Amino acid sequence: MQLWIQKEECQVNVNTKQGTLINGMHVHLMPSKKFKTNTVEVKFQTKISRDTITRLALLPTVLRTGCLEYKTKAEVQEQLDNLYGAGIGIGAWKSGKNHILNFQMDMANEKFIPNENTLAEEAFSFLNKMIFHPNVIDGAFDEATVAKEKETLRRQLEAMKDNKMSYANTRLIDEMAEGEVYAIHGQGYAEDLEVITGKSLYDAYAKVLETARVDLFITGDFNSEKMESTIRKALVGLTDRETEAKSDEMTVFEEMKSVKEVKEVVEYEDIQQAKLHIGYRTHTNLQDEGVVPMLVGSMILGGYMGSLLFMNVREKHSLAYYVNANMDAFSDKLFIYSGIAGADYEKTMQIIDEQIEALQKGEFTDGVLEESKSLLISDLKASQDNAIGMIDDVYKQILTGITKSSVDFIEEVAAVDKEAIMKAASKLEKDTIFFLTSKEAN
Amino acid sequence: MREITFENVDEKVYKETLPNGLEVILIPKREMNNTFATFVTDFGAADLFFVPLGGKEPIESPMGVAHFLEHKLFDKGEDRDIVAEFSRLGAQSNAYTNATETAYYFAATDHAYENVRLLIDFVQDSFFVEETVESEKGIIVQESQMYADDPGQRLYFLMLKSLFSKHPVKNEVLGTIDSINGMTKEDLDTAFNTFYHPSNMKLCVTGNFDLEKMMDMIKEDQEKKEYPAPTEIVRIHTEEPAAVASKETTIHMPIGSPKCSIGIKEYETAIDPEQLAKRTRLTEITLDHFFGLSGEFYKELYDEGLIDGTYNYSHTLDKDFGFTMLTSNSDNPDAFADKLKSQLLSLKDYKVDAELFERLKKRTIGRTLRKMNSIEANAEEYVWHAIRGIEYFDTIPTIQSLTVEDWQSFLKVWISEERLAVCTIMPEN
Repeated sequence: MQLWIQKEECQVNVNTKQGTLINGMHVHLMPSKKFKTNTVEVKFQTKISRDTITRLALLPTVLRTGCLEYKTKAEVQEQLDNLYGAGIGIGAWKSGKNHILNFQMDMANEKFIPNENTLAEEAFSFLNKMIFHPNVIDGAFDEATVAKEKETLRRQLEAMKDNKMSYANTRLIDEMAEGEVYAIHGQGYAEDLEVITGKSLYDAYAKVLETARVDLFITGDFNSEKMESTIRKALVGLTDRETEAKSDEMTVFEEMKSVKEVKEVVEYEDIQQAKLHIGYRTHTNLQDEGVVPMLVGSMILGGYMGSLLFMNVREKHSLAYYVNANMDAFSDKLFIYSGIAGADYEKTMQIIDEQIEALQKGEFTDGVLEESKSLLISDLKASQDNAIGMIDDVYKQILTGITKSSVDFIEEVAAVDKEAIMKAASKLEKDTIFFLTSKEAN
Repeated sequence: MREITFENVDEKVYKETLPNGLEVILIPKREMNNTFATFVTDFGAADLFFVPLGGKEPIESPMGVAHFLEHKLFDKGEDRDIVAEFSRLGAQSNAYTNATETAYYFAATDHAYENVRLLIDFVQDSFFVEETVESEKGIIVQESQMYADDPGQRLYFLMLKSLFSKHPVKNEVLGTIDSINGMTKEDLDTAFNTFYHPSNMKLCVTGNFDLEKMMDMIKEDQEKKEYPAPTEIVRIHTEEPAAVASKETTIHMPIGSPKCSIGIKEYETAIDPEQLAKRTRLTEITLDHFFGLSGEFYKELYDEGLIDGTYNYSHTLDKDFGFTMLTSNSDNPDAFADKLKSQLLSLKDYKVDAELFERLKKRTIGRTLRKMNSIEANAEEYVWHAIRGIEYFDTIPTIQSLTVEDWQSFLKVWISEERLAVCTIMPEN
């Protein structure tokens, strides 16, 4: 198999997890001639907690409204136009035991615009205002803005309940990962929204600014020295400081759990299509050798149209409208999702069990093995053609402390054989079944 | 092979017109992992009147012939499945037909040369069997009925028919049920022989491949195939009036909320490439500013409850026709249409502001650069512009060269009452 990715490119500055320390941030410069825009991400990593998760989930939309200098969305937009139609995105999510608050900015590269040479500096100075000088007066965000965004988030959380597929996923994780950090809802909790005020929201933000490990990534076609000095000059909100995440103990991985007995949860609702979602323990995560064979195995099991689950549950027995398998390599979990007729529960469960067994016994064709590997490799390669994919690849190495780039993964995927998959799959253990169905069907 | 360097955007384009007339455009970028190729014929749903290759008299093809051909080229008989062949080479492939082009393309992270060869070979091989032409009709009729049930598609073609009375761009890409059912093997052969002649086609490959190896492979492949000498294709144009065909049209469909569209008949006679390039950017800037989602007018429409999240606008400007549509679901389609019309008509008196125009230019430049990050978009845009005699990688200098006076003159003549049409779909009952 041909490997086209330039190995050096993926490992720029990653050998040192620290990057270059500038103004309290670990700065990772990733120059690349692939792009005509520069993509910047500033990531704030803190330990996740049930107490602050709803406030952190609310933060991005409030911060996106504006800052002290550009108070409204319209003023922000005007400024973005002046910066050659730059885009800004603010997001928050869970990553294992950590919470990540992410500021992303995509700006045109001044190199390609005649008579323009201060764009990068202006863009960083705008970002500096958006991150470090939010619209905060007397230690509180604007109450009207907070109230409006609380309402928006409340509606989103309601809508998630109405979407039965995502509801079943959430419930499965609630049940399976009870007591684990994994079960904390990254999108927040409706019942926590009421008490949030402009002040309590800002307190949560101030804590993040004060304690987070901060990593800055930038990729694009730039001169590293010049970019470094631009960042040093324009992004000046933090000073070198003690951070919660400075030590290597801040691992993303949770302890792996064993299964005592299979937990089965059934809920009834007035729905047309029942959801059968099942969680398995893989007893494997990114720290282990077996993770890549497990990844290929999950692809063979239910990762694409030719997979065991798709071919047998859907095509051969016409039981499911959707069926797929998905593994979380940051954790010790693999999930199977299916939408079925409520009355077909037992038959579907039996066929799913048979597919797990087939995977463990190596009962799949070489064709399926090769297709699964080549799909994974193709995805990994394609992800390196976009800036976000490149940054994610490096950040994953920083978060996990495992310095394996996409190129290393591609090599490992290419080397996986049937025996390795059988060995990995033998560790799969059913943990929790969540079944959402209607009274009439059962 | 000709090398053209665009220092401004740091791109190198390699072009060669092969002896059979095929123009090959290679834009290698070895840093990328993906390779993308598109094989395009300057032949779309609006190319219905022409003198066939080797003939003398003009003929009229049945509507939908370009799209029908696109379907048939994927069909190579029982023992071949083109999409699966691409899949086995790690590629995702597809095709589309619009009013002016038919394009076949793939993206892959492996086997670049094999995939390009497969792409050229399957498009250049016409394998039309009488009975499979028959069986395809059912499939295309079904596809057409699916679109007919879609209110968005219905409104789009309803608007084209309201704007244009003669220009074939008004016809549905798929044709009518009658024209589809009347399609013969001869119709397909004639269109294929005329418009799939290499001299009417462009092949563009972008991404990760070796320049020389790719060009050699393509040349070797083309040398093995025999074609008559390239000749200019004669396309017959019909006279189209400036005014719209019909100012107001309403139809009924089983839908929940009314859907309304305002159309602008931009122009109906040929314009030169430089004009087309400039006008495209001015239209983009104008629509973006006056009708964009971050503008004041949008907020007004929204606050007055005249639009919802379905509000959108698009423009299609081409060699000899141009149109713009602004569309939304609206509980009060009359008020929506009136408000948009008066906003559009007021623009001829709008006093432009130099600072604002510079800001809008900057936004457009940034957006253009961002689009150029994508090798897929670069291939598609390069070919589209090349067919129209425009250099795509000069887009940024073109935008920079626009002056506030250009914008003022454009706005002065852009809208007139006779060039506006309103189409509405109302719920049944």
